[in-house]
Amino acid sequence: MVQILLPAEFREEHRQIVLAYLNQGHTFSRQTWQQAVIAFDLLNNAGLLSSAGFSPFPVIYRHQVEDRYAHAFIEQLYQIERVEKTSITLWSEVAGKVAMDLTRAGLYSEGLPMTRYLLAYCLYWWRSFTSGYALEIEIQQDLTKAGIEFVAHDLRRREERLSPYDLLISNFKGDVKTSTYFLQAARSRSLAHDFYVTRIHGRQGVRTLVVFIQAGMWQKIDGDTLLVLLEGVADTLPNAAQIVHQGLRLTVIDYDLWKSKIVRYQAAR
Amino acid sequence: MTTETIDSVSTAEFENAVRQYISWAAAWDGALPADVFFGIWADLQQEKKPLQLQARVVQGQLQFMTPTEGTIKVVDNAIYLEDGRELVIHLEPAP
Repeated sequence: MVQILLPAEFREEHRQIVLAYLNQGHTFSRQTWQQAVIAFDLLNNAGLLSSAGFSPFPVIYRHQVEDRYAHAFIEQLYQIERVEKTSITLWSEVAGKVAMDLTRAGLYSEGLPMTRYLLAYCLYWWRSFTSGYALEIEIQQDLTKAGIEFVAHDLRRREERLSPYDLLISNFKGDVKTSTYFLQAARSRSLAHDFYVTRIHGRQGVRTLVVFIQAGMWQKIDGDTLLVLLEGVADTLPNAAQIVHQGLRLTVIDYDLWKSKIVRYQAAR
Repeated sequence: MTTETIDSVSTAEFENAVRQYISWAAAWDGALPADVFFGIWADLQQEKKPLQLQARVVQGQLQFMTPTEGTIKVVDNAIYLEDGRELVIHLEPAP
């Protein structure tokens, strides 16, 4: 018999939002997305109690999903050019197997509705991590095409996937994150790297990559920006803007503009 | 938003929700609209998070560990709040 233990802060609205996310997460508003980000973040502190002892959700996810499928997934992404499209096909193939895998391992049961939280957690994070890996490989390929010198970790090696940063460009450390994962990171820890690359939809629904740059790096590669409130950034892009996050000044800049500044910076050195 | 939760709906409804998820997520690129993204970020900065405090029992008395974040102070079994009040926690033996 297994028992699911949810953290005390995981309240009724979080329980509701997990179901709502499965049904219609793609239509979420700012408020519901915020609740979903918090709910799945809180589930990192959930766990499963069985005769074998207590297993936190992140540990189960790693054993049942990441260790089993991530290597083959990433290996295939490195072999192709159209990373994003293929990554979604590969993602859905695995997503369809997760319930069966958890059932076989005795971790998910139709008769135990609470175990659905574990399945929802694994599905959410499999999507989050695979999107992140795909975006990271896409950026690596693009930086190579742009002639930018960088060091990237090899995602095929688990220990490198877990390294604290994804890219090293002219001694600047950076991370590549999907927009939801970036928010999850911004909520749970400080943004300590020199830069972060993420993808959002701009004002007219056009997909765009943006880069958040710490003040130190920005001073070295460029200069002045306009200080705006976070909620005003969407109106400022693609022009560079400066925001404050937990006391830190970050510059937000369009990815292509950032790349051109990096090319210039590397050429001058 | 529905008031149902994933542990309160029927098995069929939950399985349908999982199928729905795999369907929409396969057609979604995972990028949030800019106003939603920056709006959530702004909201998260305002979020009131509980302050975590670790303690251990030493010779029958509660002893708080110095918190790594926040502005409250602790000394042994006492917590000094930001407004100057002091909370002292005493452990009682179980009846």
